[in-house]
Amino acid sequence: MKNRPLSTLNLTIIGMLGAVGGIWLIIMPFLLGYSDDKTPGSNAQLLSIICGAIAIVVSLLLVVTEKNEGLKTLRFYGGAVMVFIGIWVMSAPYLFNYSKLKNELWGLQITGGLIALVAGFVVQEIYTRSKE
Amino acid sequence: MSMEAPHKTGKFGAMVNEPPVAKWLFANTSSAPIWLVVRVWLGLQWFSSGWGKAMFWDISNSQYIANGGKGLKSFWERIVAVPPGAQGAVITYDWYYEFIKGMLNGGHYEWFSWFVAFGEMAVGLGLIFGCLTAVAAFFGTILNFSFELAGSTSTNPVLFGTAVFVILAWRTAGWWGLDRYVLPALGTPWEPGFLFRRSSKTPGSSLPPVTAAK
Repeated sequence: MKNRPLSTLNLTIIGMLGAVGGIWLIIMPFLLGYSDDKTPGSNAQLLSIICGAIAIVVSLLLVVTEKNEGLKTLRFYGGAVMVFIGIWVMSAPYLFNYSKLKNELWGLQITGGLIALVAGFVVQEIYTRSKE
Repeated sequence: MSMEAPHKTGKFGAMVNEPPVAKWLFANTSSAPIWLVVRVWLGLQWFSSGWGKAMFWDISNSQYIANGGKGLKSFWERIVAVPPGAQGAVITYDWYYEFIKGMLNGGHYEWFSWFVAFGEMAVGLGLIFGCLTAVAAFFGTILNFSFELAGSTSTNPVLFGTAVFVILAWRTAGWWGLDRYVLPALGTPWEPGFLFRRSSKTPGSSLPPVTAAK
C-alpha cells in the first residue's frame, strides 16, 4: 500500500479551506443567534469570533509561505496551532458549560472538528514533505 | 493437478484481503487526524457525562453520586418497577432485571455510582489524550451496552457505533496522542513491548505492522 496517499495535497487549497472555516466561525454566531442565549451564548460568540480570526490569520500564513522552504517549521507549528484551535472550539461547550445550548454545541463541535481535521492533514503533509 | 488457492492467504487463511480504504483507516498512521477528531469528540461526551454525575462536592446540585448514590438508586427503582414481559417494562432480559434488582436490594448503588461516574471520566480522558485508546473505547462500549440493557437509549447507540470504529483503529487512533509512546512500551499480550521483553535480543517490533505516514 502506498504510504502517503495524501502527499499530493495542495496546501494552498487546504489553507484556503482553513480560512473559510475561520470566516464561518466569525459569522456563525450571528446566523445561529448565539447572543439570544444571554451569557453562555455571548461567551460562545466571543470564543467563536476570536478563534475564527486566529484561524484566518494562520491559514493565510500557511498559504502565503507555501513556496518558502525556509519557513517550513513555521508552517508546521502554524498547522499545529490550527489543530489546537479546532480541538479547543470542539471542547469549548463542555469547558465553559454551554453544552446544553444545541446551536452553540453543534455549531462549534462540527466547525471545530472540521478545522482540526483539515489542519491535521496539513500538519501531516508538511511533516511528510520535510522528511523527503 | 495443482490445488493452489487462487489468491494469497494470510497466516490464518483469510479468504479475502482488506479493502485499501480499511487498510488506510485502520493500519496507516496517515489517517490519524481523522481518529484524533473522532476520539476527542467521543471522549468529550464521556468525560462531560461522568463529570455531571461526579459532582459530589456540591450535594445540593448533585444528580448522581452524592447522598449515597441516591440518583442511581432512584434510577434502578424506576427500571425494576415493572418486570420483563409486562406492559411498560423497561428491561427486556430477565437476567439483567435480576442483576439490577439484586444490586438495588443489596444497597450497592452507593459504591456503584462512584464506579460509573469515575469510569466514564476515565474512558473520556483515555480517549481525549489517546492513552490506551482502544481499551478506553472498549470499556465505553461496555457502559453503553449496560445503559441500553437498562432501557436508556439516549446517545448510547451513536457512542457505541463510534467506539467500535475506534477499537478497530486501535493501532492508529492514538498515534496523535499518548499511544504513540504507550503502545510500543506496553506492547500486546501476543507481542510484549520493550518494557516487558525479557531479552534485548528479541527481534522485531513490539506491535503488529503499521504503515507509517512517512
